[in-house]
Amino acid sequence: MDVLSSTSKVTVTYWDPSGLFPLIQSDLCSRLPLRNLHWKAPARPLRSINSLHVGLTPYLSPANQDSGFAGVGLTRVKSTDSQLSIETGRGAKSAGHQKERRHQIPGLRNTPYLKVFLLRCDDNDSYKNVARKALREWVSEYTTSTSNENKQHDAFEWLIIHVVLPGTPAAQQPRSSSSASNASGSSRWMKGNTTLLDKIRSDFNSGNNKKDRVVQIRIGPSHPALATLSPPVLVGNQIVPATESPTESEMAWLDLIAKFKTQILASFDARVSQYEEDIKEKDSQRRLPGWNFCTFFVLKEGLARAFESVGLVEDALVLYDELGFGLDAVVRGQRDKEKIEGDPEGVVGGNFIGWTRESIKWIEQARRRRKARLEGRKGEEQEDVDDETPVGSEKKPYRELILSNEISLFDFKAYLFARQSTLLLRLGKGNGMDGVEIPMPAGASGYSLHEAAAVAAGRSEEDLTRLSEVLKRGVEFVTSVGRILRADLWTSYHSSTEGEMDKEQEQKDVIWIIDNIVSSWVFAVCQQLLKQTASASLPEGPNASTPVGTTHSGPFPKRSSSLPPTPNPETTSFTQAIQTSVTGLEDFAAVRADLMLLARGIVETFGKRQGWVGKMGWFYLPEEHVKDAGMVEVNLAGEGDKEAEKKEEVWGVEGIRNATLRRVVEKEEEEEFYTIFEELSEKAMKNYSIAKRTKSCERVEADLAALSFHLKDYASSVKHLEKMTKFYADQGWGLIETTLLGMYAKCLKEMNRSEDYIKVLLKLLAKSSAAERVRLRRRGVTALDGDDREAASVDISLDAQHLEEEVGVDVERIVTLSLEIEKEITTPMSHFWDNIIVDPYPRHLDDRDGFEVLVKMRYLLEEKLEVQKLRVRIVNTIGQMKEVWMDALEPVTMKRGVVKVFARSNITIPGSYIVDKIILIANKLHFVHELIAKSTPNTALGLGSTPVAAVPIVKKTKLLFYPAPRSLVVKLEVPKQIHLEHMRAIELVLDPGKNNVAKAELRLRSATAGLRLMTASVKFLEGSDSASMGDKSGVFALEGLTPEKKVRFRLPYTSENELTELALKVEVDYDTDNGHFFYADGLSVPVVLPLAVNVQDVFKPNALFSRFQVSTAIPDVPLRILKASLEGSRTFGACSGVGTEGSMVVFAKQPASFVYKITRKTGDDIPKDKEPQPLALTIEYRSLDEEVQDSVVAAFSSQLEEAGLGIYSCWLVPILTIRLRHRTVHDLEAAGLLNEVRLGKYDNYNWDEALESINPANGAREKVETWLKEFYEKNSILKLGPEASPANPVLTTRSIIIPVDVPQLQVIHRVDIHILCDTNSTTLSSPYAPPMVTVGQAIPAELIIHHSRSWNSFDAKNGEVEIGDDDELEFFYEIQHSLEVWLVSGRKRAHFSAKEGQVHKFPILLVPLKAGNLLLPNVEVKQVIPIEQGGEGVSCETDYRSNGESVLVLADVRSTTVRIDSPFGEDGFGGPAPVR
Amino acid sequence: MSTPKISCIALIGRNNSPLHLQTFPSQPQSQPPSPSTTLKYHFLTHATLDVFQSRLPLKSNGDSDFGLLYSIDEELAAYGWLTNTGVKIVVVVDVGGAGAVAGGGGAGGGGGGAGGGGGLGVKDGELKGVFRALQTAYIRLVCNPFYELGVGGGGEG
Repeated sequence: MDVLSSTSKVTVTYWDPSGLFPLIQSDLCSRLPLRNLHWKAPARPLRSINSLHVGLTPYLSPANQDSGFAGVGLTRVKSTDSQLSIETGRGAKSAGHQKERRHQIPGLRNTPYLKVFLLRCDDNDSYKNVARKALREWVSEYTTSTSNENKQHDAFEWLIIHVVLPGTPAAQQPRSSSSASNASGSSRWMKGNTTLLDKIRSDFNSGNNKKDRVVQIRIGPSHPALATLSPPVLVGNQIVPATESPTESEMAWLDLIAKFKTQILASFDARVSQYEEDIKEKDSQRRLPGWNFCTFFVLKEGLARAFESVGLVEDALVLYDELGFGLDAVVRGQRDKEKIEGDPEGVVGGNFIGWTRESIKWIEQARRRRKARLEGRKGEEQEDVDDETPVGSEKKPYRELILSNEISLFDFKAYLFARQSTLLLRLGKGNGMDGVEIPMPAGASGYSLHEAAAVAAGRSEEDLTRLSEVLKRGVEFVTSVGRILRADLWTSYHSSTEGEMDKEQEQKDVIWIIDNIVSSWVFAVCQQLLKQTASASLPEGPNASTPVGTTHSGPFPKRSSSLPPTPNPETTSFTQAIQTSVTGLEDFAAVRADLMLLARGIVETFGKRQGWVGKMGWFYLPEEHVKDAGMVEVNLAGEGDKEAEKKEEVWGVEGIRNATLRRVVEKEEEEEFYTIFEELSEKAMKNYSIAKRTKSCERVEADLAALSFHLKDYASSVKHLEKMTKFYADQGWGLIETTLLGMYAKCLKEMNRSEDYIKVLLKLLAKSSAAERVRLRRRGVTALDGDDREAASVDISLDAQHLEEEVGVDVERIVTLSLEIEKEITTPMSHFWDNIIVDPYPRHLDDRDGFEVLVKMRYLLEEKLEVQKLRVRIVNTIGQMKEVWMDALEPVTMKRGVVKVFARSNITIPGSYIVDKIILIANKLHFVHELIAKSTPNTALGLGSTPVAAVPIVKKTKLLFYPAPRSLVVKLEVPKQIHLEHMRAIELVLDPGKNNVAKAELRLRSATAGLRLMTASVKFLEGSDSASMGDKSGVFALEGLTPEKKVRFRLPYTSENELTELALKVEVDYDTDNGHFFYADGLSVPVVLPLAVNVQDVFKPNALFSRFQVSTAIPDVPLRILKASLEGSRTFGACSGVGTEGSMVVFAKQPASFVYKITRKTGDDIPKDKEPQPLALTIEYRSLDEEVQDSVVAAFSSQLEEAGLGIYSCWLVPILTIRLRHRTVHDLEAAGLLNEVRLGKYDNYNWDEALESINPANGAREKVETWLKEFYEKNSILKLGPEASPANPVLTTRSIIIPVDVPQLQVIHRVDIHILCDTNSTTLSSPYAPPMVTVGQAIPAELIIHHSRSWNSFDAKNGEVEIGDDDELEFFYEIQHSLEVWLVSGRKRAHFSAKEGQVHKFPILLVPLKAGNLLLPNVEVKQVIPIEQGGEGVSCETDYRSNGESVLVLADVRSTTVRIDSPFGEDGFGGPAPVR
Repeated sequence: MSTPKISCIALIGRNNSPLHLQTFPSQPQSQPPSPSTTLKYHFLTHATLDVFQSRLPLKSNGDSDFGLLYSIDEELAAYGWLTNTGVKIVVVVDVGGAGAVAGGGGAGGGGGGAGGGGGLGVKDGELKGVFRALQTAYIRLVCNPFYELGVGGGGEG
């Protein structure tokens, strides 16, 4: 806009009849511009004008030649400012109009605010004679006439500057009379005389307002301009040159300047109030007919200009804004009126002319040229090219047009905008310099943002907010006024061709001519705005590699959800950080970018017209275009050319009035066009990134990508596209993403980047399938049930259609292509498949071992996909990760709709599993679906772009694998017979089921800590012909197993600690007729013995009695003992009593005991010298727990088989067993006592869980459930024990063989207490046995000790003292008795030494102390161990035979002793007399 | 002659993903909008999100009307509305440039300082009714218990 004409300059004219101006000019100018003016108007807040330029112009009036002071204030003042040259040219021309119409256009004149009279008055006389008169005339001339006539529109003030020349009398005078009184003598004689200054003051300050309008300036004597003065100063007169001190003269100048200020403000104030008054008046007439907006506009603009001229730009701007709204209102009002009345006349507010004058010219020119071109005439004059700045307030005599009501709306708007933008630019570009353009620093484009800001701050603050305001308004202006221009052009065209019959072609031409005109105008305005607002803060040279530019798009935080009601604190802080550096930069950059896009849009349109861009826009892929063309060629070869011709004809370049655009279009070369397009785009992008408008930035980048794609510059296109697709995908802008992906794919294809190409294509396909998914969902198809193939291809949503048309993604091709790449590409399966479900009911195969599971999924793509492999990975839920892969047998062809595939595994690993992963493999493409929770976020991410973000995560599919009845199983058992003497062992049974196992390898591993399996000493109990030891430990090779041919191993083991349960891991690899299979299981078996045996030995010289007490080892589990027998060995014989066979139930508190008599065998065949063999105690028993289990299971299985549900036995039985184990002690006790099992109820067994893994299809689950319920009803009480069936094969009767050693005994003493009594004795009642005595009666007895070494075997064990028969050993005996019962006299304890067969007798006397059947006292014989032998003695037992003998002691009632104590002493009656 | 027409309505979710985008053919005889037109509007609406974002701090008082987001070119202008749940409604208005607009005047309402004084075709706030109606319709849709929120309305329709 017209930056140059925008000044804040007030004019001050000086009337200088004496030519004094040069004297003061330099001093005055050095003090200008005026600083810090403060204007206070009553209706406004205080305004400060920082600096005000003053234009000093001499008062030159043509009139003043003859009439002296006449015509003051009427002259158009010429600016001395060279910068105003343009204006003056036009201004001079228009001056003529203005003079005539000054009443109507009061505001348009740049009339002086202050008039200065430069007075030369050398002495008082000349003042009196000449000067005063001249002054008076000058003053009266305008103070009266001009101000009244013009009201206050041109209000001004006046000022008299008395220039005192050196050497004149005036110079001798003091400054004022007041100061004169203090002055020195020279002035004293002039006392009473007032100074010249005072005189002038008194004469001219007498106006109504008491302003001091007189200033005196003294010129120094050395002033160079003095010489040119006429009439010259008479220097000779000068006696004392009254030199002024610098302070004084400074004071004088300050005074002058202050006066300047106040006077200018005063006149300004007067003008403003006048204008405001006028405006108010005009405004009030708004509703009156005949009111003219133009007049009003001019009036108001006058005020605005006044404001502007004193530097109050903002106030001016406000006025212009008001005018703008006023204009809009008027236009709107007009239009409404037109609509209602159809009468454009008589509209309030005046009228505008229908079209701009130039428009006709424009159209005509274009038409002429076009005609010329069509006729082949060269040399026809070119169209005019508008200059670069179409908008400017001085472009046309707008004001005159306004005044003459000849302005079109377009012009009016343009003018208004030009003015507004001028003001704003002035504000924005820094307010100090009066809009004088600041030369951009040469290297501005190279500056970094901060440097540039610093530079800007150093010079003049660039107010970016203002600049962006200009741009904002500019955008609006361009778009809206573009429309107005178009209408304008049409109106003018219609009116100019009125009456003519338009040819159709002509009409068409005009359409695009007008279009071109409008477009080029818009483009030019955009360019102009951009140029004018170019700011140092925002470098945007095309090649500038500013830090901002290079780092765009990357580092800016993506605000994915940019509009939450509460702003993200993080982002705001970031914003502020930038804002503090340059205020408003973001906004500014954003608007600039908007404007660039606007300009770009126009270029693009032209490009489209020229056919350089696909008609549909950039994103229309050229390949498609080519295809179309090809089709045209084939079918309508002739017409194709015609079409092309037509196309050529339809559009022409005429009417483009912008040089840049013309260049672009006329070159007929695409390069220029692309360059411009690219440049604009890149700049816009840079700006957007500065403005942090990432989305807009991406949009432009997308265009750029499309451009380079269009130009087949695939590499750079790819560079753009790489990150962008993600950007759009993240926020779900599917269509955009799809389009970009399509382009991306093409690029990659061209560049032969197969891997990326495939990846992108997969993404595209995913889009397509997502669309299908949406479609399905909308139709409510979510489950897999029901095949809806026939309906599938009815409506393909836009996305897919678009996609397939554009890119032609071919599934087969992708798959084929994937062969070329090296690495597999893994894609989430959920992109192309929906509802992926693994049937949770594994099936057994009929003809072989292993399982298959059914995988169901919905394939979403239209095209078929050949999948070579489908693999399902399952992992077990408990224990360490064990994974099993299941594979589909054959390649699968995916068709749209539900696909069912069986995945099969030759592996049998019983247990519970979760489906972890499904992989589909097609060449190098892997489609993976993970079902475990950890994969969930991945899935979600991958799906991000698809509209349906969440595929319902399939419930964890739990698979329970259990061997089929037919399949190979390995079982672990505790041997039925346990020989405690042997190493402990377990038995392993391999049951090949119905398999013909050609070859197998069985591997064993211990799974219990501390367990060592003695695989080397394994023993094959069954099927030993087909089994052999493997080459490694724990490995066994098997061969040629026929169905049902079991192999049973006995596997000894040792363990470091006592085991209760033993666990093994078994793996079997085996080959059958059907291929290779694998079986693995963890087996465990309880190995703790359920019973405990205690033995108590009683030695007799000839025999040993052993008592075995059998109790339960596990207190909870009662035992049933069927038989206990002790078998003799070679050296010893054993025999038992009665009752060791049968069924005895042993409870925890009720052990069973068995006594056996063991005797040494005699005879010749008994080898004496051999080590004595232990005896073997064999106990046959059943654990009641096992018994219960077995019988229940037996009943269960047999009935299950009967019901035809045998296949489930392998599944249900273990569960039943587990449930049964949970029985309580009481249950078992009851079972033991009652010999029956109460099963309880179905509900207590919690079968539901187990039933869940039975396929509900075909009602199998229901059947099993019913059967189970029935089973519980029928078998609520199961009989147990021998009564049920003695030889019940179901019940496992276990036997344990316990080796029983006959203890070593070297010495046995047979001890007897022989009561010596004769039958005659009166003391003992002989017929009675036991002997009967009275209390206190001494019983003579004999202790007899037989020393025997009969048990001594000759080979003493280690650590024992070996003794021979003849060795004499020393023993002692001890009678142990209770002191209350027996009184023993004699040797209670005595040593003796003995040899084999010796008998020792010791007499003792026993006195019973109380009545009753008294057992004889106990006697023990022990060896006296010599000290030197160190405590080791021979083993020695005492066989105390009198142990059970008793003596009946009675109170003696036959006689009693009465004692009478005599007072005479002992011998009084001669002792007690027995009474009988 | 030609009055301003709505050429595109877009609903954008809280997380800036498109909920719905519907273009309205400027020429009634034309078939369903070509993909490229739709694509253009997709791009345009996506870019408006920036404006929403940058203006949000100024709209602290819960004002839903974002007014003119930006003028795309001579013909099209995008207007925005933000519901209190963060759903954005963008209406692209074809102010009818290409045809012949007689006068084409119109007062740009009061947005003086902020530069939001609407285009000549549409008065500031003139679209408020449109936005309200759209919002009401949206609310009605969301209130439908059978409607699965956030599902559907990917690309077009």
